[in-house]
Amino acid sequence: MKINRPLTAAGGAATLAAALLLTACAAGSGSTATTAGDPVDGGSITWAIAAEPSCFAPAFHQLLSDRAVIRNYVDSLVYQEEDGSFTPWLADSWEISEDGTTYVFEIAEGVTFTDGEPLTAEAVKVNLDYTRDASHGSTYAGLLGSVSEIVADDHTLTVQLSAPDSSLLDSLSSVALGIVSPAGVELGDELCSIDSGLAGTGAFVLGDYTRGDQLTLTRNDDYVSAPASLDHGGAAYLEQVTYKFIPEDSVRIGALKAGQVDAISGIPALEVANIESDSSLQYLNGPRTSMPFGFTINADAANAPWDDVALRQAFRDSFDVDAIVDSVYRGEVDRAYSYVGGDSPEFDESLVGAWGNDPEAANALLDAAGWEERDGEGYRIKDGERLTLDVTYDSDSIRDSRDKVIEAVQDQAAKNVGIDVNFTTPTWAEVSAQIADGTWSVYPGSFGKVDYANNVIGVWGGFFFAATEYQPTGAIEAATQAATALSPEDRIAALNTVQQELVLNETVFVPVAESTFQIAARNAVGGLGFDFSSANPDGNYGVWVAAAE
Amino acid sequence: MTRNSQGIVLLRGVIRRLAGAVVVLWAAVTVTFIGIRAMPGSVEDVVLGIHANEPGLREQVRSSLGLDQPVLVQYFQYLGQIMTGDFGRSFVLRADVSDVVFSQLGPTLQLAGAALLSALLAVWIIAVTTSGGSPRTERVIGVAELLAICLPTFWVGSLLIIWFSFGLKWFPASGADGPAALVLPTITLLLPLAGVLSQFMREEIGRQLRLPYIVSARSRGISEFRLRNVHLVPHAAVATLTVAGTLFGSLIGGAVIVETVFGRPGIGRVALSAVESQDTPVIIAVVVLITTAYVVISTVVDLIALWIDPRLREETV
Repeated sequence: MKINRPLTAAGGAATLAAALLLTACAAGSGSTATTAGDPVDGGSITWAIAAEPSCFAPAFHQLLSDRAVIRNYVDSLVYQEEDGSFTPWLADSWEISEDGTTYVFEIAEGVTFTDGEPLTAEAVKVNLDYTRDASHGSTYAGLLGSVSEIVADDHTLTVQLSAPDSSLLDSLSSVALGIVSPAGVELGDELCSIDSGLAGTGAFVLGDYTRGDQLTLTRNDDYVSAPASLDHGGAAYLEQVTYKFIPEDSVRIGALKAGQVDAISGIPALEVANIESDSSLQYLNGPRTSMPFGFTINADAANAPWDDVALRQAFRDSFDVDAIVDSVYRGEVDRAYSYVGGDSPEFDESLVGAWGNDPEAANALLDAAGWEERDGEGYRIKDGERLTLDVTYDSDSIRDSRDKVIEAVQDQAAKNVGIDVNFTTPTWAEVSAQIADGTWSVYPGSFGKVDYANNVIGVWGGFFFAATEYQPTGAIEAATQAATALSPEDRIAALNTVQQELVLNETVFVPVAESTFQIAARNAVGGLGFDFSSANPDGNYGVWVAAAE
Repeated sequence: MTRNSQGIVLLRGVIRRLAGAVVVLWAAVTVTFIGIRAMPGSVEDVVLGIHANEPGLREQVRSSLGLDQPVLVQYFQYLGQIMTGDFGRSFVLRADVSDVVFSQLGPTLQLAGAALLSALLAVWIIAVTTSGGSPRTERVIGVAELLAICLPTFWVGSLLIIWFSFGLKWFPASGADGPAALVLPTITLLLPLAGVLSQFMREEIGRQLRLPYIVSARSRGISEFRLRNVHLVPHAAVATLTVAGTLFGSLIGGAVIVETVFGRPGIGRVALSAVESQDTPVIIAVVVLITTAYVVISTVVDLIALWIDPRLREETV
């Protein structure tokens, strides 16, 4: 359901709310055989998506899934490739000083916003300066936290940093820092509404909109600013794009199968077989670069006895992740090994097989910690207290059978080692209040496609453990090193330490299942794909619809 | 009784109704305000999200939401605002509440109105054609009524979509484009309403059929059609209309589910997400609107009753 929650991590492309829309599937299981043939100019496409953006302005949008819509009319400075590298977009080129604190971008010439304003370095500066000023209330201010000054001179943009920021290009490739016409920037969050004058340089222009029903975009015939690495330039193929907002998964899927819409996003894992069995449809599973779904555990004394790392490790190893993920998702979703998604270049391979499914060791740890006695129901007790772990998941965020996964963990933890997992589903306001005062216990969830360094600093340091005496110091220090690293190698090495700290040494995060976004469409639709800066479905710049199947 | 004194009775009824409406609206706003405050958590947590622990930010959000004021001050501010027709700005939707709510009112009124009218029509036809029939017909209709009332709206909606939209392709599954998109949601919404009203109306007509005036009318050789439509229905209609008026509230409740299943724009969907995020200005605006609609409808129903049934006019004098 639409549930709107501004939750981007300081620096990460993260939203808890994104967990709503994240459904997970095995990468590469998609059938991409399409009969769409070569690109066709003209025509229109109708999408059905689950959530309606509550805000259409890049700086204030709330859900990760909103980015698929905004991407149609907003371009970014740099383009993120599938392998995580960056290529020119609105910036033709850039140079980074040796100390990593000065970025000089050459902004493309001859580009205009769809309201007629020219794209200049000054226009980019107005956008970035507005967003990074925290008093303006953009939840993405943290993405530019390292910036100390921005200087614009004609088409040269100089971004001065207070410290090296290895995440800066990733942030700039995101829809959150997409560039809109400077004429609207000062409107702040009033720019959220569709008739505010919001205009980008994108391949499409905002058109008719009925709240709660649908949004139509029309082709920007003068589009010249496509990412340089694409083999397609100039205007988009499609003349018109319509997004219908259909929150019910079954209705969305049915509308696709009945031919009422051309493409849909957000497909629950258990519906994948249903779609793949239909030969008139194609199914695409997005990259596994988002943060996996898993349990974040409070290691503070307020959550005793779970402040003992041995107990957290015992919980982590008490269940069989492979078996649980396989039985709940019937092979459509991969199990996760780390805090980093398995397709990310920053994923630490050494975590594969390094933990989990070892009830014997878990039992030994619990015995050694003094939880040897059992009560009548088989749960471990100490001094008359049962060994209980409170798992609270806000009901709005539960999607794609995640409650079933948690119940399976609950079952195995009880049977295998005698831990009583107490699973409740209050509102986000309640969960958030507990986290704000440090009294929370376990939060299951995922944060979408995040910057893995800034997410640890912003979400673990700045949210989960902001009010606790316990600090995941090792992970935060390593994440800080990664964020300020001068080379990709140094960044990856530091992020490996982060993953080992979170999952192995401190065990404040127990990974369970990979998170991906999905697309299903009629075979006549060609050129579908994902935006690698968000792992979400991409905009419709490269999409076409063949005339007849 | 003169025409003039009849007018005075109607006028008095209207004035009394209006005074009552103000009290009802005030009570609705107050209860809603207290209810939102009694819920665990707060809209500030929703607005803050994972920024909940950033230094200084909570204070900034609280003051921009007006939550730093004493609760009583907040309450009277809301009341004052609402009296001037200003419902404030939603920080969750980042939009003016009036814009959001009024833009969604049309589709919901369309849906609720279509459901109410077609329910009344259906009930009229069912009652006139089947009441006083054989015990077997009575039983079949009775079971149908029970089913209409008991079947979950969500399930009925999904089933109608599968059959008539995905299967037969007669109607679109979602949206609010034109009358065709209104058919399935209307049927989904009218079923429980029609079930209750039909039970009511058939029982009333069945009771009337045994009364002496019917027997004497029949002995005069009146046609069964005329008997039922001209003599019976007005008698049963007064009670049925009153019930229909009070059931309007449940229509709005049903609209929440119907709008979600059918992906229709409307106030139900707005209300649902507002309650989930504890978006006070939106919740209060929706409550005020629905209460107003409720009061207007029950007033109209009372006035129609006064018009249909002369006895009510005399009793009020």
